[in-house]
Amino acid sequence: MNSLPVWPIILPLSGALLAILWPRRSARIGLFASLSTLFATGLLLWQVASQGQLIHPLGGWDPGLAIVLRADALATTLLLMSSLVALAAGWYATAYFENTTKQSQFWPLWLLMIAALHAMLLSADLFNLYVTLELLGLSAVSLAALGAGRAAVEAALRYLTVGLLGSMAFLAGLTLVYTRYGTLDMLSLAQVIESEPATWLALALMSTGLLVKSALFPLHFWLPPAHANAPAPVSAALSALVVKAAFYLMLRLWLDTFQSALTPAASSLLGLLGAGAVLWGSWNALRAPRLKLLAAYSTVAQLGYLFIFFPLLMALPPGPRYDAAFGALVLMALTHGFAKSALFLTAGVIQQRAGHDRIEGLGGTARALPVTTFTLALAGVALIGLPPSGAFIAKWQLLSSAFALGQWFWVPVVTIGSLLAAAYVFRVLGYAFGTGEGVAHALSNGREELPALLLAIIATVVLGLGSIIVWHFIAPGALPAESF
Amino acid sequence: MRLETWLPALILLSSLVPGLVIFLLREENHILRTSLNLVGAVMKLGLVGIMIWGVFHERVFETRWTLAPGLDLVLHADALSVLFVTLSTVLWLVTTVYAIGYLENGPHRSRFFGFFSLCVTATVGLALAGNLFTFVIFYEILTLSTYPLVAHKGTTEAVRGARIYLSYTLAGGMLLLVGAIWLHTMAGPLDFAQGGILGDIDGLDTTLLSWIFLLLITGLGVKAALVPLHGWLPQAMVAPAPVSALLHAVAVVKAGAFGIVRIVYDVYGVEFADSLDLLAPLGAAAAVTIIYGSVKALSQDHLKKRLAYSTVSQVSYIALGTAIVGPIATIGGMVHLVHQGLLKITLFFAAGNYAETLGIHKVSEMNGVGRLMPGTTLAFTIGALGMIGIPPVAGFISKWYLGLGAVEAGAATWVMPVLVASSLLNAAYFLPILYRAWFRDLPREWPTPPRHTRRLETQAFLLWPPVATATLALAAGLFAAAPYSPLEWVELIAAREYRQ
Amino acid sequence: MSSALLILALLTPLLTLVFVFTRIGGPLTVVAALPALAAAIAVPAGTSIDIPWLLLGTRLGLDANAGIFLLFTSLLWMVAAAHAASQLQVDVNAVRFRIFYLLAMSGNFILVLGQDLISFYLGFALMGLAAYGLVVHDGTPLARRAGRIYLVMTLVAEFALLFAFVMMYWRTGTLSPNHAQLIGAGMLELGLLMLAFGIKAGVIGLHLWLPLAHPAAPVPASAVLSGAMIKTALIGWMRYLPFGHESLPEWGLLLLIAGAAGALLALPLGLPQTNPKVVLAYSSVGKMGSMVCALGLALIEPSAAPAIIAAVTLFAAHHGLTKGALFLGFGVVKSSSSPWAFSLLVFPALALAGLPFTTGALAKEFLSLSVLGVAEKWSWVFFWLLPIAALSTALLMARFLYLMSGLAERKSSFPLLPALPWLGLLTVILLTPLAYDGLPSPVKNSWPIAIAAATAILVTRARPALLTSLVGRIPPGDLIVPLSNLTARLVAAYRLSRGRLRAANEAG
Repeated sequence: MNSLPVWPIILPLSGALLAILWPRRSARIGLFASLSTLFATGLLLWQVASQGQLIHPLGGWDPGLAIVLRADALATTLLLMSSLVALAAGWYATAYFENTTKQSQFWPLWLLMIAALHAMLLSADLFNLYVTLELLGLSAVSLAALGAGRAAVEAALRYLTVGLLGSMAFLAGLTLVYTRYGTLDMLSLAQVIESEPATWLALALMSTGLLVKSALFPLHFWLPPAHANAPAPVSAALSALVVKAAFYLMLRLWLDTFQSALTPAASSLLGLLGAGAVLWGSWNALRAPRLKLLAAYSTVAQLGYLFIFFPLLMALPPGPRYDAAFGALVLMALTHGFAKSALFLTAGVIQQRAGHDRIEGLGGTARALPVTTFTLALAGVALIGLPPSGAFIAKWQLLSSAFALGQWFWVPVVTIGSLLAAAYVFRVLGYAFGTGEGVAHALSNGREELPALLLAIIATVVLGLGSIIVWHFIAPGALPAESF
Repeated sequence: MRLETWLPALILLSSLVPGLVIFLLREENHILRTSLNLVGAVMKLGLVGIMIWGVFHERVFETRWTLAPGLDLVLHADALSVLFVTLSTVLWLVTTVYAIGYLENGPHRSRFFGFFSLCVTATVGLALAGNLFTFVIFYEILTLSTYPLVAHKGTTEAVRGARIYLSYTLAGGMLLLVGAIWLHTMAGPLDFAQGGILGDIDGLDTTLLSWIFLLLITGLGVKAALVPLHGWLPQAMVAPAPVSALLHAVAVVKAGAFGIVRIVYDVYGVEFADSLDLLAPLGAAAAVTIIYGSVKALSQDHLKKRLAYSTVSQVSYIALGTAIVGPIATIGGMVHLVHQGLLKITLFFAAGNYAETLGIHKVSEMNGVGRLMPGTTLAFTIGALGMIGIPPVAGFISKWYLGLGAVEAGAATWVMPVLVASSLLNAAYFLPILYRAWFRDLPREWPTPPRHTRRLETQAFLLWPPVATATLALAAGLFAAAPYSPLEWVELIAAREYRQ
Repeated sequence: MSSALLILALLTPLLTLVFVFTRIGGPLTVVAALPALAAAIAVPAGTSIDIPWLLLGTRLGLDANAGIFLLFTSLLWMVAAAHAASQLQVDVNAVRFRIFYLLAMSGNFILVLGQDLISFYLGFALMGLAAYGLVVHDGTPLARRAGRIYLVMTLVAEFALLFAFVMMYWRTGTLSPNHAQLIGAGMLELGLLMLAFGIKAGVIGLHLWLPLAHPAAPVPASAVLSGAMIKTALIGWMRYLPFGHESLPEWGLLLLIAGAAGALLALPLGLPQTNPKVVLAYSSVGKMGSMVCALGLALIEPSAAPAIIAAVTLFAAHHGLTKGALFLGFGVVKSSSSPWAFSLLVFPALALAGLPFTTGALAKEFLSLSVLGVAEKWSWVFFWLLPIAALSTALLMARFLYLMSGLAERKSSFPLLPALPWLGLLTVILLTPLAYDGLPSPVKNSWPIAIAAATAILVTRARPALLTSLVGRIPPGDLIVPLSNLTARLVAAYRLSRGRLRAANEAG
C-alpha cells in the first residue's frame, strides 16, 4: 500500500474535475470526495502510526528526479485535521449555498484548494512546495471572492496581490538555494545546509514570503478583511487550514531543513513578532464590531502563539523537553484549527439567520439558536485556552518551557493574550443571555448546526482529554519509556 | 475494573452525565429533568459514602489519566478531599431540591440545571484533585460553568454582574495557572501529599518559592474573596437564590479557600511554609478581610448583599486557621469549611424564600416576617446565631478551636481580638435582622401578597432545604464530639497531616 | 435515678418549647421548672454524669452550692411563671414571652448543672440572649432602649468569657478544671473573668444595664432577672476562681472595693428614683455588691473561702427569693391596687431589710460570721460596711414602700386567685428560717429597720425641700445617659462626615 500518500491528493482533484463536468451534482460529488479523502487519510494515518514515515516517489523514479511524497507523523496529523475540517465545512456549505448559483462555482474551487493543500502537506521538495503554495493561494483567493459584495472582492484582490508578492519572495529564496546547493529535495538538503550568508538570505526570503501568507504581525493586514468578507465555510478553511499551511512550511524549513543555519536572534525575532501578533490581534478582536471580523483578528492572535514556540524550540536541546514542546505546538495548531473553523461556521449560521453579523445586535438570534451558541462557547473556550480544551494543555507546556529556559518575557504576553481572548469571547457570549422565553426545539437545522458543533467538540473535548495521543504519535521521545 | 481506580471518576460522572442529558431536554420535560437531577444526586451521595468508608480504612482511591508528558490528571481521595466532596454532595442535593422549587415555571430551566450539574462536577473534581494541575483544570471549569448561572436571569444587571464575576475569576485563574506552571517546572509534577512535599525537595530557590506562593494565593484569593480581591462577590448577588446559596456555601468561595488549604498543607507543608515566613502575610490578609467584610456588612440594607459581605468575612476564618501553625488551628480552619457551608446556605435559602414568597429583598422590609414565615425565620435565626458564634450551633465550635489554636501557637494577642471583634460585628448586623423579624409588627402591605392559601408558609421544596441545613448545623455543633461528626473527621485529617 | 432526674431537669424546659403553641402551653410553662426543683432536693451533692458525645464532651453535675442555687432558682422560675400565667391573660405575644422564658430558664439550668466549660458557656449565652427577648417584650421605646443596652453589655460579657475560657482550657488542659487546677491563671484570663461576670452581676461601673432592664421587663421577668439570673455570676466566680487554693490579693482587693462601692452607692442612686422597680433594681445592685465584697475577701484569704462561699450562697438564696417576692408583689399591687396586697408587701420588704426571725436576718448573720472572724487586714471593712448596707437596704425599702403606697386604693379588693403564686412564695420565705436553729438575737438586728422607719416617717411628714428637690434627679441607669449621648453624638458626627464626603464626591 505504498501508494497510499497519493490518494489524499487524487481524490479531491478528481472530485474537482467531476464537479466542473456535472455542476448540478457538484454538492454530492464534493461531499463524496471529502468523505473518501477522509477515509484515505485515516488509512494513511494508521499506516504511518504502525510503520513510521512513508516515502513514495511518484512514478517510481529515483529521488532527485522524481516528485517525492513524504508522509510523516506531522504531515499526516495535519492531513487528518484538514480532511475533517473540509468535510465539516463542506457539509455546512451544502446548506449555506443551497438554492444559489454559487453552489456550482464553490465546489470545484473548494476541492482544488483541498487537493493543493494536501499536496503541500505531503511534498518533500522545495519546488513542489512552491507550486502547491501557488495553487493553494489562487484557489483560496477565488473562493474568497465568492463572498457577496464589493468588500469581498476588494479584500480578495488585496489577498491576491499580497499572496503573489509572498510567492515571489519564496521563489527567489528557492532559486538561491538551488544555486548554492544544487538540490531542492528537503531530505537531502537538511544534511548539507551550512550556516552562511547566502543561506541566511535564502531563508529570509522564503520566510518573508511565508510570513506574509501566514499573516504574522505586522504582515497580517490583508487577513481580517479577507476572512471577514468571505462566505463562512470559506473563512473557516482560510483561517483553519490555509494560513496553517504557510505556518507548516515555516516549521518544516526552520526545524528540519534549515536547522543548522539558524541563529537564536532569528528565532527571537519570530517570537517577538508572535508576541506582537498576540497582543495586537487580541486587542483588535476586542474592538471588532462584527463577529467574523472578530474571528479573523483572533486568527492573527492565535498564530502569534504558534510563533512564540520558535524561540523556545530553538533554545531547547533535542530530548524529552524538546519533544514535549514540539508536541504542544502541534496540539495548539490542531486545536486552533478545529476551534476557528467551528467559530466561522457558527458565524455563518448566525449571519444567515439574522441578516448581519454585528455583535451588538445578536442577542435574539443567539437565544434562538441554543446549539449554535453552545458551539460558540465551546470554540471560545478553546480559543481562550481554558480547560478542558487541548489549547490549555498546549499553553501549559508553552509556559513551562518558557520558565524552564528562563525566557520570562513570554509569560506576561501569553497571560494578557488569554485574558484579552476571554474578554472578546465573553463579550459575544454575554449577548446570548437575555430576558424572554427560550425556544421549543434546541436544534433548528441539523445540517447547519451540527458540523460546527462536531468541530468544536473535537477542539475542546477530544483534543483535551485525548491530548496524549498527539505526543504518542508525533513526539514519542517526550514520554517515559512505558506507554499506555 | 477495580473500584479503587474508577470510583473517583464515577463520582464525577454521576453529575456530569445527567447534566449533559438535561441540556438536551425540552423545557416542559420537568419530570424527567427533576428525576435526573435527584437520581444523580442520590447516586453521588451513595458513591461518596463508599469512599468515606474506604478512606477511613486507609484504602487508596485514585484515577489517573495522562494528558501530556509529565502532566497527569489525577483524582485522588484522601481525608481532606473526602471532607469537601461530602460537603459538596450533601449541599448539592439540598440545593437541587431548592432550585427545583425556586425556578418552578421559570424560563431556561434546562439550561440552568445543565450548568448546575456541570458546576457540581467541577467542584467535586476540584475536591478530588490529586495534584495542582488537575486542581487548576477544574478550578477553571468551575468558573466557566458558574458564569451562565450568575447571568441566568438575563437582565442587564445580571449580565453585568456576571461579567464582573468573570473578569475577576479569570484573572485570578490566570495567576493561579502561571504560579502552578512555574512551580511545576521548578519542582516537577507534584502530587498532593499530606504534610507537603516541597519541604523535602533539596535545591529549590526559596525566593522563587515565595513568589510562587504569592501568585498561587492571590489567584485563589480572588475566589476566596480575600480583601482586596473580593469585589466580584457583592456584584454576583444578581444570581437567583439557589445559585447564590451554592456559590457561597459550597462551590466558588469554598473552592478558593479549599485551594489555599491544599497549597499550604499538601504542597508546601505548613512547617515549611512557616519557615519561609509565608504564613504571616496570609494571616494578616485573613484578619483584615474578616474585619473589613463585617464592617461593610453593617451598612448594607439589601439582604443578600449583607450576606455576601458576611461570606467575605467568614471564609477568611478558614484562611486564618491555615495561617496559624498547629493542629488545633488547622482543625478550626478546616471544620469551619463545613460549618460555614451549612450556615451560609441556610441563610441564603431563607433570603431566597423571603424574596420568592413575599417579595422582600431588603432588611428594612423584614418587619414581622417571623409571624408569616416562622419556619424559614427559625432556620435563619439558627444560621445567624451560628455565624455570631453562639453555642450550640456549629459556628461556635470553629471559633473555639481557632481561639484555642491561636493560644497554642502563641498568636493569641492578635487573633483573639480579631475573633471577638468579628463576633461582635456579626452580632451587630445579624441581631437587628432577628429583632425585626420576631419583634416588629407586620406592615400594613406587602410588596407581594403572601400566599396564605397554602398550609405551609411557602412551597415545600423551598421550606425543607433551609430547615434541613439548619438542623444539620445545629447537630454539627451539638454532637460535635460524636463519631462521624465533621469535627471528628477534621481531627483525623489534622492527625494525618501532622504525622509527618 | 439521680442522673435521670438531672437530665430531666435540663430537658423539660426545652421540651416544653415544643408545646408552647398549644393550649396547654401556659400550664406546661408553669411546671417546666418542677423537675429541676425535684432534682435540687433529691439529687445528692457530688453526682455527676458524663456525656462524651454531646458538644465537646459534656459533664453534668450538682455540688453542694449548685444544689442550693438550683433550689431557689427553680422555685423562683416556677412561681414567676405561675404569676405570669395568672396576670398575662390578654397578651398578644404570650407565646413569644413563653418561648423566651423557657429558653432563659433552660439556659439558667444548663449553667448551674453544667460542670464543663462548654456547657456552662452554653447556658450563660442562652440565658443572656433569651433574657433580651424578655426585656423587650412590651415593645415600647423604653423597653427597646433597655434591651439594646442590655444586649450590648451581655454580648461583651459573653465574648470576654469565651476568651477567658479558651485560655483556661489551654492552661489547665481539661474542660472541667477543679479549683486546684485553676491556680496560676494569667492577668488577662482573670481580668476577663472579672469583666464577664461583673457585667452579669451588676458590679458598680458595669451595672448600667440593670436599672434599665428591670423596669422595662414585665414583672415576672424582672423577678427572675433579679432573683435568679444575676446570681449566676456568683456561680461563675465560685466555680472558676481558685477559691481556697490560691490567694490573689490584687484581684481580691478589686472585688472588695468594687463590691463595697456598689453597696454604698446603691442608696444615693436608688433613693431619688420615682419608679419602684428602679428602686428595687438599685437595691439589687447594693446587695450584689455586698456579696461581691465578701467574695473578694475570700480571694485574698483562701482559708476563709469555704465559709464565705457557703454564706454568700445562702445570702444569694435569701436575696433571690425575697427580691422575687418584692417584684411579684409590685405586680399584684399594681394590677389590683388592693390595700391588703400592699400590706402583705411590707413583709418581704422587711425581710430584705433584715427583720429579726426572717431569712434576711439569717443571711446577714451567716455573712457576718464568715467575714468578721477572718484574720486578715481587710476584714475590718466589713465592720462598717455591713451595718451601712443594712441601713441602706432599710431606707431603700422604705422608699419603695412609700412609692407603692401611692398605688394602693381603699376600695379595691384583694385578688386572691392571681396572687396565689405570690402568696406561696411569701409562705416559703416565712417558713424557711424554721429550718435553722440558733436564730440571731432580735434586738441587735432590728436597729436598721427602726432607724429607717423613723426616718421615713419624719421625711414624709416634714417634706424638707432639699430632699424633695432631689427626687427624680438621677435617671435610671445613671451613667448610661451621658455615655449614650456621647455615643450618639459620635455616630452622628461620623455619619455627617461621610455624608459631606459623599456630597463632595458627587459635586466634584
